[in-house]
Amino acid sequence: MSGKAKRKPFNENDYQSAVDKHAKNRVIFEWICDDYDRAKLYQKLSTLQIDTRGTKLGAKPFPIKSRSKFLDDPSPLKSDSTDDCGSIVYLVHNRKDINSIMLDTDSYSNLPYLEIGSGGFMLGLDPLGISVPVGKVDIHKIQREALEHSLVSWQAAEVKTLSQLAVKEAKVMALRNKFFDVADFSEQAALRFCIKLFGFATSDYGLLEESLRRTYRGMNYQMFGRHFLSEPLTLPLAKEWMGRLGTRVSQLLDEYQHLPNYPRWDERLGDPRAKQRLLPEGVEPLSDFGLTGGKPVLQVLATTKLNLTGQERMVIAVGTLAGIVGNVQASVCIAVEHILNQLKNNHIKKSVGSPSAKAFALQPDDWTWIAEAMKLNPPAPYLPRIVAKEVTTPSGFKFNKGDELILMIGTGTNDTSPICPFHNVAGQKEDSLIFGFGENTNLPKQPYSQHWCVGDFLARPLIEETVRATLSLPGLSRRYDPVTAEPLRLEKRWGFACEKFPLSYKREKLRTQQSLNVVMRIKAPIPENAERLKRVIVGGAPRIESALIKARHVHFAWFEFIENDTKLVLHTVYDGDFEAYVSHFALTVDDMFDQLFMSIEGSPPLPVRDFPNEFVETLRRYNLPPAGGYLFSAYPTAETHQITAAVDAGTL
Amino acid sequence: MNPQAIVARPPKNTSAAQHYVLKFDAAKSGLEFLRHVRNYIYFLSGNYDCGVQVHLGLTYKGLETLDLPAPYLRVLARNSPAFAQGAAIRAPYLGDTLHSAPECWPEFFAKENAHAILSFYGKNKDDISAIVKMVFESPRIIAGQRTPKNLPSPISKILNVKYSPLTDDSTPIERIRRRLTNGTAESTEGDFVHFGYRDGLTSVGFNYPGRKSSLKKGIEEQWHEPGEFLLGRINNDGRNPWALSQATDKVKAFFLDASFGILRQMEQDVASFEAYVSAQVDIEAGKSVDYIKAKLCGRYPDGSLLNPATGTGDSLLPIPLHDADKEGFGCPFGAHIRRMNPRSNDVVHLRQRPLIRRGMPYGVEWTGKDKDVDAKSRGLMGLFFCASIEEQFEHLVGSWADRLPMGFKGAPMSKDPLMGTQEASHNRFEIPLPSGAPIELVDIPTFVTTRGMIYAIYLGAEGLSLLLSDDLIKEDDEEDQ
Repeated sequence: MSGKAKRKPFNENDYQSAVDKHAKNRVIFEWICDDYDRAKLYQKLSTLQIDTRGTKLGAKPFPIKSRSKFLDDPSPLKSDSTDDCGSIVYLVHNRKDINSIMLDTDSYSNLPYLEIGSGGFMLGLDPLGISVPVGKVDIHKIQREALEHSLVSWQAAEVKTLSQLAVKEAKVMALRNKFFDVADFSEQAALRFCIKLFGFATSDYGLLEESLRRTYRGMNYQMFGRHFLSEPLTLPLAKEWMGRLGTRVSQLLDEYQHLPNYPRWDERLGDPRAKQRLLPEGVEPLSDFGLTGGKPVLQVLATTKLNLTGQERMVIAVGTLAGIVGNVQASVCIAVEHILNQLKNNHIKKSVGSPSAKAFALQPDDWTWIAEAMKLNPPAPYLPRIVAKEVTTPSGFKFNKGDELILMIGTGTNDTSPICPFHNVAGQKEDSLIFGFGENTNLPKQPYSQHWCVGDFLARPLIEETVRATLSLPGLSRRYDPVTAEPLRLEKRWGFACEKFPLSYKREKLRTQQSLNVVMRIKAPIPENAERLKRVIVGGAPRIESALIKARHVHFAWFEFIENDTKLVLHTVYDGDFEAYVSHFALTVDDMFDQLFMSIEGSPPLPVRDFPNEFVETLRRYNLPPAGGYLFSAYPTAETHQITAAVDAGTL
Repeated sequence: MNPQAIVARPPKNTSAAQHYVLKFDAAKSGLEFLRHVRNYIYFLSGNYDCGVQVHLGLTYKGLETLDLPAPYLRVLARNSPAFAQGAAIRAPYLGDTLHSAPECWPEFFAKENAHAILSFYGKNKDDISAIVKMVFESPRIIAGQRTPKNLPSPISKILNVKYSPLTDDSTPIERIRRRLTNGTAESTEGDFVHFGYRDGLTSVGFNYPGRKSSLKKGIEEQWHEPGEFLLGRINNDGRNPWALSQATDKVKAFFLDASFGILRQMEQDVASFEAYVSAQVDIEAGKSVDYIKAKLCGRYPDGSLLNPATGTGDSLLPIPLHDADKEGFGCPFGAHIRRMNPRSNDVVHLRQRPLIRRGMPYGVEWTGKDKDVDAKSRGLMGLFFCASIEEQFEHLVGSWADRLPMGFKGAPMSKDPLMGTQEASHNRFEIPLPSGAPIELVDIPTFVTTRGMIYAIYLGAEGLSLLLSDDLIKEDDEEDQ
């Protein structure tokens, strides 16, 4: 009944006292999954004196026993004598070591990504060279250049406009109810952003949504989860859905390549379809949204001369997509939660929002809050590496070839020592471990620049727009546990993959109109009662009309008989919310409802006047929301009384 | 008719108050403590007067903790979901968000911790402190329990009742009394709130046997049917939503004459308010400090009304008749009093939503000079009574204060300028003028922050007796019927 049981407080001795390697693995996992414990773990990692090799580690990489015996171990073979928690994976938490490993691509490979089909690509993003040598070709460099080239037509201002458009489109469905989920909203925004940026058809939304969810989960499992859990289906499903997405991407690449030579139709003067001649079926021209400069990434990838096969071009597109959506979702959730958490200490009042108004909304210069949130909880907090050859880290730890590593980005970004300067972008504090700031930025190369990250160019504006849109919602609030009234928090899988963040807002301030569709089953004998109801409605129509006019908050109302006159539906479109208006209005015509309910199955106790609460509950119970909760209005904020006043005044 | 007296009439001759939030350890000890408190509680029919009036409100969680049988809890959950859910869950609807959100409230306001409110009203702080001591610290030996060395201990300690004062320094709060510049022979002094406005100019209530009108000149009376405030009585619509037609007599008796009370601590940022008002002053344009304050509130600080004909003071109206001010030239549509008590029929789907107010300011007065004094917390400790939390209190705060009442002219999404949690783009206020474009005040800061809120039921005399004597219908009894 009540909320979750309270966790016991962090105790570093739990690890030492764990009975065996399974238990130790679990202790580490539990710590990492909890925000508070993880922060404590990060603090303690530099001082924990535990070493499976018998030496004291201090700030050196921390070895744990992994549940994953092999790198490609979605499900161990039955014939294999599995030694669960037998292999070692090193948690690299020292900032110097992390920096060094990310830059030294000769000694460390990002081979683990290969398992989900993109090991050759830029997940993990090394600045130079490749993780998996393929002859003498610097394939990684070619891939990176191909992606850069495909984005050349996009200026920062256009990416921002696209971000705003994506957020606006995401609002339609994600914010259709007063209760919403930031994880859903940000995912939708990112998907809609990608559809337009890459040049997908609108109908590809479902495929992108499912495939990128599966892929993101697969990535997270491969990077982190497999060391602590066994999910035999996660990687195969990720591969399957990446395959489906790859198939569709390949199809579109082919079409984009084909269309310049064989346009969908001839160009004719004045033909409104002209702008779609070179776009595959269902792809909306970017110019329709005021985006005149940017070209679809798939179009450019398909038509640019590069020493890449179609398969390789597909991998570039799919790999980039996989890196955007989940990380944007995580970044937005983390930032919104961080900012809401700051309300308690009152600092936010002075720092976020218009200083003069002290009203709450993220302003254009408030990126600092987002950067701070991501520093404390990086959206991609773990990067896997395999040691390619014997090497000693700056902290003096010697790795052997084949050692598995997890780079703990969160410890790096929370390292405040002077050796870890923040990059200063337009006067804002940011960490290079999050967005890279490598050689492709306009900034001078910094000692700790990690990599060129497409996220800085593409994801950052989208994150900013989505966070701002969320914080600008009227009446934005957390939601509360219905039993304990404790605030519902951001739910993260394995401590970082943001899956659910329930909030609420005052929907009626953005869309004042609501629909009511009360579907009522007619009582037997149905034909007689149906006829009787028709007579009641016809007879009572003037009374209803008069009451509705007097009410001044109902736009439309009508009855409908459906399913061969076996059910009666009351439809209305009204202003305000149910609690505030419908119940009391209905009670003003209670005798009318008494007449109707006499012929309805499952009616409330009558007369309505004596059982008002039961009556309202009946209306609520039989009310069916519009499909998907979607209700269009050409004038969503106009209220009935405003419209009628304008009509009366002759101004409408 | 025997509700707790505070619902029916303002506590007589009281200038100070103190509220405590109680948490019971268990049903048995909680009921034992309440039997002890029962002697101090002041009901309408009571003619005892110790100088301090004590009132008891119980939360849904408190009633659960006291093992109120399921048939009663079910009635409450069905007829008043807001009460059953508790104030924190309803806070978003009220606009209690951001800094006013429940996660920013002190722990004792949490649903799990707030079981009851015990309020003390008295002539002065000393009187109240004496009764508080008797209530919480009466030496007592409970039968069957031994205290160390067999010495009596404070009853609250023996019975594990935690009690938290609502104000930081645990001293009672006091009314702000000031001499009236427009006083009359009957009244030379009036009550004020921290923003400097005169309070208590409208008296909302209901008729009951033996009620005496002792109101002074200049005070508006608004009388409603008892059912607007008391459960089991007929309301203004001629209905009795708590008729409980299918319930047993014992269940009906339990709820009869109970009232829902909302305790709401509202911290007022007087410095911001004064600074904002001063920044809007434009003497040449006729916008003095008092003019701005009058427009924001709907009354001048001394309580006098605005004249719809001129848009300034010297109204001849004894009470705010908004019908006579159809364009809002006197009292703007967004003004505090017009939202909170629209009175007239310009609100869409008018239904009177009366609230009985028994609030009192807390904290020392803001000086504008003494930094140490001004840095202290101050505000209004609101205590409101009604029969429907959803249709009365919540509608006023969550709808009419949080946006312009539907039907009013002006910026529809603007919030109450005095008490709203302001948000960018809606923090503006329109002052309609008889001639020319309206004055628009923009970038209004949030002046009031909710520091906590509790929904409680104030049982009538019979209901409380039934609870404390455990003379209640149990689940099995109900099923037998």
